[in-house]
Amino acid sequence: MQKDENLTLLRQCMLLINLAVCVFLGCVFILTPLRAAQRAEGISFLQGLTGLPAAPWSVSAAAIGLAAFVAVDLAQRRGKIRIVRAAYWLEPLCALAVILALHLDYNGLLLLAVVNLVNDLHGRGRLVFLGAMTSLYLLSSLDVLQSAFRMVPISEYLAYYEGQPRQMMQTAIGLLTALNLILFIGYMVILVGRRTEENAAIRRLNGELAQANDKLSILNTQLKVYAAESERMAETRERNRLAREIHDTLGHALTGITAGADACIEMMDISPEMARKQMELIAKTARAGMNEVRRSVRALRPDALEHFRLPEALAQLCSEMQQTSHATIHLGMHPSDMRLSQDEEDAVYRIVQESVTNAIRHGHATEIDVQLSGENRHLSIIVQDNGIGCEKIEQGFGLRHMRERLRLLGGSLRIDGINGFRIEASIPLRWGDEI
Amino acid sequence: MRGLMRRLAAGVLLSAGVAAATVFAAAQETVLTVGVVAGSYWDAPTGNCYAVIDSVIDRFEQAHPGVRVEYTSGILKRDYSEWLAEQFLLGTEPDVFLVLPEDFGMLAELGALQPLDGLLAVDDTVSPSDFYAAALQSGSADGVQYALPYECAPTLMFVNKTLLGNEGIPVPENDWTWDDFYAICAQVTRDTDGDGIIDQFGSYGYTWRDALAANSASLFDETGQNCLIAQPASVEAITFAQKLEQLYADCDITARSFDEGHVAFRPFLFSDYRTYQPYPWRIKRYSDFAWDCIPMPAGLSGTGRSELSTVLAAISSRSTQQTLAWELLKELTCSDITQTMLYTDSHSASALRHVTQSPQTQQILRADTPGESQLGLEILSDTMEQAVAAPHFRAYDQALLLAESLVTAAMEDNHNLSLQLQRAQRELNEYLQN
Repeated sequence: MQKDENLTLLRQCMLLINLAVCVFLGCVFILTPLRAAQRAEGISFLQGLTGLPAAPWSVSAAAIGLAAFVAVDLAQRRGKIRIVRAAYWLEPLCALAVILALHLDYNGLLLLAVVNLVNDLHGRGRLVFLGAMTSLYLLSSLDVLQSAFRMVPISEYLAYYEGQPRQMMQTAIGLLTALNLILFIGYMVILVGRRTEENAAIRRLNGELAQANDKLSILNTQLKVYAAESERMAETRERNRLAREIHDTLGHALTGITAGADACIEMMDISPEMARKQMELIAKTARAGMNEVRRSVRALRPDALEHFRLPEALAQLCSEMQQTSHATIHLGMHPSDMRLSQDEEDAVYRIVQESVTNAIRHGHATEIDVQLSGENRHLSIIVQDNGIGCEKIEQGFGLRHMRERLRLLGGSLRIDGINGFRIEASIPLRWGDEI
Repeated sequence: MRGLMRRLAAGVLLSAGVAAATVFAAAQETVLTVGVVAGSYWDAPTGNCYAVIDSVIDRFEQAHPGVRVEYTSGILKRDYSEWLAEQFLLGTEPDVFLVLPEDFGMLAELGALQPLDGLLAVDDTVSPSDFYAAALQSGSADGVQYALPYECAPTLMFVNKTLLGNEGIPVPENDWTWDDFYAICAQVTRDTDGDGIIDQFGSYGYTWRDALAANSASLFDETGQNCLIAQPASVEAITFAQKLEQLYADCDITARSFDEGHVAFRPFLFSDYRTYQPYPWRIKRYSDFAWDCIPMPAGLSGTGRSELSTVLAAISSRSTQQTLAWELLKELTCSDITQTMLYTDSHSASALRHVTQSPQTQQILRADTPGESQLGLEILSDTMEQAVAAPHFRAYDQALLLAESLVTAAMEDNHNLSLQLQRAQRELNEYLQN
């Protein structure tokens, strides 16, 4: 910011110097002929010139050009001129008008135009602009052009004055012109310096970015490794889930069929009629099991839940189990209608199915009580049978999977085999579950 | 929509402004300015010095309705150059102006004068061949015609017929030479009343410059870069001038001697001739003797040429009315009426050959001249035809002053004139080339 202020100060100094030089030259161009005319020295003044001096009023063109130059500069600085490419040529054009009106004697105004505009231009536009300005500067420095346009140089005007005043005027013009040039060079040096600093900063930032990129790529590799791990884990989990499904569906159906077939064998002698009924039930269970397997393969979802909502599906499950075994199954639900997310419904269905299957298969129970109740944003599932129970519970495939399912849902499982067999599962309800 | 309306309104306003400006400009009459000298350039007294310019303006304004021509009156010859220079400095110079011979070089070099070659080439009514060559030449610089001759004054030889008659010498023929001139001068230069002091002289005012012109030599070349004073023809001319001067070595000849009838020959401008020949001037000034004009004597390698003094007219290169200015310039320099008026209302000669040679001019000249005068059509026209234009580069006046002093010194020094002139030439060359 400090540098910006320096640049602005330099620019303003240059503007003042240019104004001073232009006003001074204008005064010489106006007042010298007037003075010569007033002193009746017209001929001796004309004798010293190489061309016809421009009429004094022609300097007004320089004044207008200079005013336009300053106005354009101010407008551009305050952003009132829309920055179109063509607008950049306004200032050099004004400068050119002034230079021509001042007999090509002072072209420092072009330097000021460069200083004013060089910062706003970039890339190819700046190259073109600087090229054009350099050519203009060189062209306007040519004395040949001055004589080609038959313009009378300021030196011939000054030659009209006597020694000391002439020397003073020449010195003043020379000094101001040199000062303008020095300020221009100073401005450019500071500008280039600032650009270099900016470039260095950009290079530094680029370096930092590259380092960050390196770190990121290491992290990326780690992430890839992690992703592969995670994929492998998902695979394992899926394999486990498949095993569980097979156990849940096929195992369940086969248990029903085995139990039904055992009953059939016993009943065959007593009542062939009953046995036939039993056989039909077995067939039905086998078909249902087959459907279940098919569906499992297709969607890995309890078939009952495909077609029914959880309460109906549970009711159907219980009634089917009751029919294929000797056990009496009581199903209680509070509230009777509950809607859960799909994975929760799946879990609840499987837990009930597994518990009932276990009670029939291992506990040889005749009474099974299934209670589902939702309170305090928790769903609790209690399955109590009157079977043989067991003192020491062996974690079978079924129980382990039950536990796993519950863990995935953030729930818990409690089992008790002392008085018959009791399974208590609790699942925290989610937002959107309706109970 | 609002933007469109605003643009439309701006357009309407602008066109209304342009229309108003056009109407205003059309209603204004065009003003053309002319710069003229009060009185004669050759100091010949005239009656109404603006008679010619006034009639030019009358005719021009009639031919161009809506154009007004203005001039500043009362600028005397001695102030005119300074006045014109100041007008140029202030940017208020006239569109058309007279250019005095001494200013032409500077103005042409400064680019103050509009080149006329293009206009001359396009205009069918004017041809450069209408003018006497020397007169036209004095308006051209570096091969460019910047001005046209407005009026001229050739140099003639004024002869005291009474004096020659008393000595029994006939008035020389028009094709006389230096030998004739010198012989007569040598013969008449003597003491008439026997008091031991020479009181009758052959010539007065015949300078080495007259001799240069008569011998087809010149002081400087056209470019103003070289002095030609040591050329053989120049040396010849100056030797003659020196010889003539030595006739009157210890005499004191003044203009008064001539006026009183004691001098046989004196170079004279045509304008003076025109001034003093007619009544009443003739009686007032030269009452004691009869006189006439003849051409200048021819040099050894020349044909009796003289320098032609020409007042020019030119157009300012900054004039905004170039076409009108050209018409006005033509009215000044190429119109028969204007140029004939020079013979009646001014005392100068016209540079237009057909005007100077016309029967009307001859009649005017004859009407003003007493019966015995010789000056007829052919003398004037021949003199104009043969005359040379003085060079007119910028430093001419200064260089001429230097040459005057150097040549006079060389002539006064009796040692080897040719060597002296070589030295003068070297010095002048140095001056010209720096």
